Amino acid sequence: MQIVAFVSDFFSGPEWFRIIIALILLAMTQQISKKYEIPYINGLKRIPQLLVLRELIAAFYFTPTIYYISDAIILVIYLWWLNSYSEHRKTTTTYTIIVIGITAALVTAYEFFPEVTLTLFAVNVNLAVMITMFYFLMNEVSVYNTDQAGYIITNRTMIFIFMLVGRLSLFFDPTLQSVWAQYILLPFSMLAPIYYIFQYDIYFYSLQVDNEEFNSQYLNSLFDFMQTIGTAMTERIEVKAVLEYVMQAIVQYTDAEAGIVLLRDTDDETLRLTCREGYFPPPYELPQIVATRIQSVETYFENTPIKMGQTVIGEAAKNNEALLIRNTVEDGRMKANIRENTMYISSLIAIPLMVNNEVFGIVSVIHRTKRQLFTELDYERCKVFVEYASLTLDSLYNYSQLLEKQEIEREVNIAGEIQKKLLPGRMPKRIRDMVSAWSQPAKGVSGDYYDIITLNRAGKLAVVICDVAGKGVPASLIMVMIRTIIHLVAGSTQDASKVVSWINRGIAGRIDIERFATLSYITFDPNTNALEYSNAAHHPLVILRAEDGRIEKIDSEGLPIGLEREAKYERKTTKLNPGDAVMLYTDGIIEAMNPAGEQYEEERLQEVFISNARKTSDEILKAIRNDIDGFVGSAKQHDDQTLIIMKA
Amino acid sequence: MEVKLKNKNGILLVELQEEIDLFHANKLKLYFNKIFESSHKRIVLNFQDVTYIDSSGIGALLNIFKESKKREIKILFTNIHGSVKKVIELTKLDDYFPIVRTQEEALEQLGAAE
Repeated sequence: MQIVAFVSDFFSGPEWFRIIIALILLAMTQQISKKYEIPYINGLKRIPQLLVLRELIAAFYFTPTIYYISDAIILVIYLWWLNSYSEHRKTTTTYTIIVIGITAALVTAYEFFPEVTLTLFAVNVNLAVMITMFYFLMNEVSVYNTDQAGYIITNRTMIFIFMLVGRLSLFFDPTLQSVWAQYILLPFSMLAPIYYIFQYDIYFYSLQVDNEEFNSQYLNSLFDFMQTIGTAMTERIEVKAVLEYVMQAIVQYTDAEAGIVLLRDTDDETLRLTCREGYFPPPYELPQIVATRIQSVETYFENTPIKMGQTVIGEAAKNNEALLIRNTVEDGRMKANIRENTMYISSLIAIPLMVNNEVFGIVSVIHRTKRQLFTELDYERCKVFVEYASLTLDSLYNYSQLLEKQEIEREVNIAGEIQKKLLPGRMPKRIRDMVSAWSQPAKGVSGDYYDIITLNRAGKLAVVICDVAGKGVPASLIMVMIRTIIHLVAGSTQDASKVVSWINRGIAGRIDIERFATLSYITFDPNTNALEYSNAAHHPLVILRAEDGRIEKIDSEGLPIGLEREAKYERKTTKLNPGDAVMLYTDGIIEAMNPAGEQYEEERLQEVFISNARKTSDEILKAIRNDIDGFVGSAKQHDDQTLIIMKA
Repeated sequence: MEVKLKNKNGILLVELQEEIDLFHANKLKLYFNKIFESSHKRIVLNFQDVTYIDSSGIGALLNIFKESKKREIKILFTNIHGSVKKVIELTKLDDYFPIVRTQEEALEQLGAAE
């Protein structure tokens, strides 16, 4: 009977009501932290769990102590959450000691002398003061000293008000015994987390929308840019004109105040100013008399090249390293540009241009007002632009040499060179362990492209495989376009089919239709095991399930890339369980021919795949390669072969 | 590559032969440019004797199809079978290309359309 009484007591009690609120908060937090990539949210995710836990304990044994202790812990979580945005390690540690120490001491005193409720009153005073201190810390956050500060700046006052209201209301009944405290005051303490979780949703949703809008605008311009450069290839326009175009594009899309291109002079190892957009003071000290007039600064810079290895720009060029100085004043490397008004630079990006495997020059953009600083995103976009310019200049350079020498047979080699540069660079070990790829161009043909891209720090990755029809430099340039688009958009959307439609929209109408491409794009998140797949008429995705050793094929609707601008692409999702393996390949694999003229065939590929299922991705890849080699024997390879194996 | 041409009631019958690959694709494209310059407004492309097609071949067909649409020439593909059929299905172009099963059906459709 006691149990029945307890259960009915529990369900009619206020704990029940508070548990429900806490559970709703828990669910919301989980959902929103999954939906967006929110920085530093791990600590905050503990708060609803803590709230649920304390209500469960309170249902069995009610004492104000658990509420005050958990409130203190929650405040500490907030403090460290803020600390991960903007480093105040010392202050945060001190505050943590004060919050935990005083609360613990006072509630212990209360537990021993429950009739003295003044101790609880003191706990509230302590917490209220510390909440106010927390607010002051939040107020120190600004865009100048903190990355991704927008959320805190927008919401700090409301977060503070909710925290303080929740706290002050407890002054009415510090022992928390009255019905009034049970039903109203305690639930008040959950207002702050409910508020900020809602705000996270709103904030990150609008960020995402902005980002997508910006992306589509930005992409359209990028596509025009690519097309212009493409025409430059055929009409043989000058390198300088291409560079000017690149410069303008970068200045426009990063919203920079000025930009320059410096070209390397290999005779005396200097970087000479070649194009300029806007006013750009040099990164070195100027004679006092020159530095006062903008015009003389400009003339001086034009006539005084930067030595390779000197100044931040020269150093970036010499080491072939891209550079972002977000805030020159804090950074300290650009002393020449932080004093005089005419010389002032607030933020700088510099990215080397690589042509023919050496540094050809360097592109740099700057801001000149304190209020505007470059973001990581600006930096990444700049890199994509310059990389694209490098790749096209590279082909332009090689192509014009080629046209001069009329060595058309060399075109194929050049295409091969371009293609090599497209292959993914160094990857983190855990990704190398997960995905193995192999690509072998056939002589005279080059149309395969694959890439593996890390999408976030948590290890989410994208894999793309693509087969462009045709051969030679034009086909390679289409690969360059596709690669550029993927690298730009892959990180900014969660939706695989969107990436494929963007690629298609960028390519369709801008290339000869006979250079269409088939392409598969997958993303995989090892933390959630979720795999997304979108296909533009490439071979279906082959998944080998570890559980039953069976092959599952996934395909999604969509025309090849480059046919119809408005083509629709479908998205498929699945989960990979540990041990499941995924295979992607191009025609060249299953059409590999033996001397008798027979093809390797899909069936045989799948058999080899299945019989090596238990091995690592790298071993599976090798086993398949060996089997193909054995089959082909002395026959000549007639098409590019690309094979990718990924293992969850 | 060889192409056999026939004329049936004012409809041009083009019988493609053997392999349409990288080495023949461009020739085929140029060949069709000539056909498009002629006065034919109805064309049937017969794939009965085609044994192999690669992506360049598909590219050439895409080009021919696009060009015919631009010039308002009616074109139909027939007798697609074997590996050619497989490639067209794989590249999801089976609904994109104007494909009918047999030459008779194609002739009938084009005849009826006039």
